[in-house]
Amino acid sequence: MSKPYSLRRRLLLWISIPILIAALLTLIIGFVFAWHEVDEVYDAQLVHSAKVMLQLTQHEIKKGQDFELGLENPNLSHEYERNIGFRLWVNTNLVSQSPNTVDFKNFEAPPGFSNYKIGDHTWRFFVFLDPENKIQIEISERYDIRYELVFQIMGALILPGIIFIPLILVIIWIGIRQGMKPITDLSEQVDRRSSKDLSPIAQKQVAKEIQPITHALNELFKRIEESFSREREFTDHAAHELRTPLAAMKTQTQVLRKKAGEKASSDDGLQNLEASIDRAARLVDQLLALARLQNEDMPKAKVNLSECLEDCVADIQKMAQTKGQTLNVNIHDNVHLLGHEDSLAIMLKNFLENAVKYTPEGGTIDVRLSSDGEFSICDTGPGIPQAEQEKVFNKFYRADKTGKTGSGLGLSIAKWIADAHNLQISLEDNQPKGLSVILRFSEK
Amino acid sequence: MRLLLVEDDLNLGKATAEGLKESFAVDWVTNAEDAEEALSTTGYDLVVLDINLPGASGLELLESERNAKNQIPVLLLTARDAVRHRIEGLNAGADDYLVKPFDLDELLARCAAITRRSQGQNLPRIEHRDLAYDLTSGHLSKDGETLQLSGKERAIFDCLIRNLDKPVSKEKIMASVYDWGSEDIESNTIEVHIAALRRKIGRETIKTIRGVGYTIPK
Repeated sequence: MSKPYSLRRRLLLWISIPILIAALLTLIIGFVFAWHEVDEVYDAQLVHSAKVMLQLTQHEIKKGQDFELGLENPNLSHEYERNIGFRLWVNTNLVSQSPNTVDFKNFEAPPGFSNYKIGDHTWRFFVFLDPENKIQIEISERYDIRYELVFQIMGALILPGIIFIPLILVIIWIGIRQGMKPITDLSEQVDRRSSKDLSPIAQKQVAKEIQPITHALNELFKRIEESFSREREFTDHAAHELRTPLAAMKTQTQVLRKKAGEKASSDDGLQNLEASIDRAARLVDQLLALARLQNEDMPKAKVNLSECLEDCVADIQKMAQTKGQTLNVNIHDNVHLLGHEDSLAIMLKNFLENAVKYTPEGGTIDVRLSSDGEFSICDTGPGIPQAEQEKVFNKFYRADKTGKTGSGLGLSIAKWIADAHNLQISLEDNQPKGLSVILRFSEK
Repeated sequence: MRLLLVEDDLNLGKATAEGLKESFAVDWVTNAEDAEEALSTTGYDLVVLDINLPGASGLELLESERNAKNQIPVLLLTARDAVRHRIEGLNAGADDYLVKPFDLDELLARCAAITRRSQGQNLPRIEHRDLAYDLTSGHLSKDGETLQLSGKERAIFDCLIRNLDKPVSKEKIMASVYDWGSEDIESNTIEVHIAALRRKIGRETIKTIRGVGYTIPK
């Protein structure tokens, strides 16, 4: 499965990358322009210096006077000054030079602009030749002072960038987070709902861009809710359609039995008919219970299991009495469980009814609920062979091959309910004879 | 006692009416409109009401009767056993609830219990002098010996003993003994049944109040 991409990261990338590219371009263009301008300004400076020097010397040379520039005034100096030098030749004789050009020795730069590396440093030269008066002026300047200036200009550009770009990115990130909040809020809101909560999401405080999503969700919720209620209606309808004719048959049979009175021969047949109707009714009950459990919400609440079990035992008491069975009931008071009372009752009743059904007349059934929530029903019926114990929880599987009673649904329904409540069912052989159904309730 | 059965399924309605006739005078209708009509014209002691009816449902009928301050006891009969349905029915003002298919004896017992409660009589047995009468089964004994009563005799006795020491008019006795289907209604039939009843339980037990009706005095 591919990892889902993050909208937030995408937005952050799409916004911040152009900003960073723009900043970089500004820097490059700034550097190129600065370099060009600095070159021009400094070169002009060199030419200008040469011009001043020419004008200063021309007059003396014309007069044929000796050339004397006099001593330098030590108070008139600048840090950058030692980076600038000059040499003056008249009639190919070096007549004057600044102290920092001593290292140049016999080197002579060609006329015009040129760069040469002398010693450790690169110098920029401007040489002016006046062939008429045979004057050669050379102005030289350390090339690295240009770097220095360009770098200072670039520094002035970069420094605010270093401070502001991260700040801008942080602001963008916060902005995106804020902007995405309605989406995260919506997903949290949907997350928090119980799986059965199908009420629509409030549309009021939702952003315009998210409204289509909430709208679609609400539509979906509505449709699911409708299909749930349709299924419920169907189950209700089926219940009515199946139970009403069964009720008619049963009531009519009972009326006939009362009329037949002591005529034992016809009563036997009617009794048989009534038992068949009861069996059909039980099958309908089980099918409806199954359909309902699968369709319907099972809201869990604190259930008093002891009372629930007592009610179920009371329901089967009459059935056990008619079969002359002994019910030993030992229910610990006030054992509670988080669950759905109706379905728990269906499960308990299914186990109890099975025990009564399969235990022969005069048998014994032990029902026990201990304080730690362990529930067991031990009967003295035929039991279930080990090999079949797994299969009895399958739908429509019947361990009893006599075909007498049972729909084959009771235990699978019970298992389904037990699973929904995290309960463990185990079947064991009851000694010396019969079956023990043991349910372990884990109280969490 | 007179009972109104509201059930739209013809087979079930017929069988149930027949079963209930053991203890009640039964009128049977198949929809809510007819039921409303019957309730407004006849004084019933009990209604056995199916929820799922064509047209207005049993619950709607029950609610409208309760809104009209009709306190008649109602037992709901329904194919729906989900808890929410039971709660719905009881909240709408039903006194009891039975899921189809039901046991006829259970229906009779519940009907007897509801009418008993509605008459403020919680004990299932009435003992009067040397007579002992079981309100549920209709079993009557004198000095511990069971008396064999006909259906009409039992219905008349039931009506009188429930109104112990109060005069009961002949019309009221007729209303609670005969339903719409009864064929043997003649003006003097009540007198005939009372005479037979007197022979069995003792001549002085039932007194005639001339111009009014009959009573069992204390």
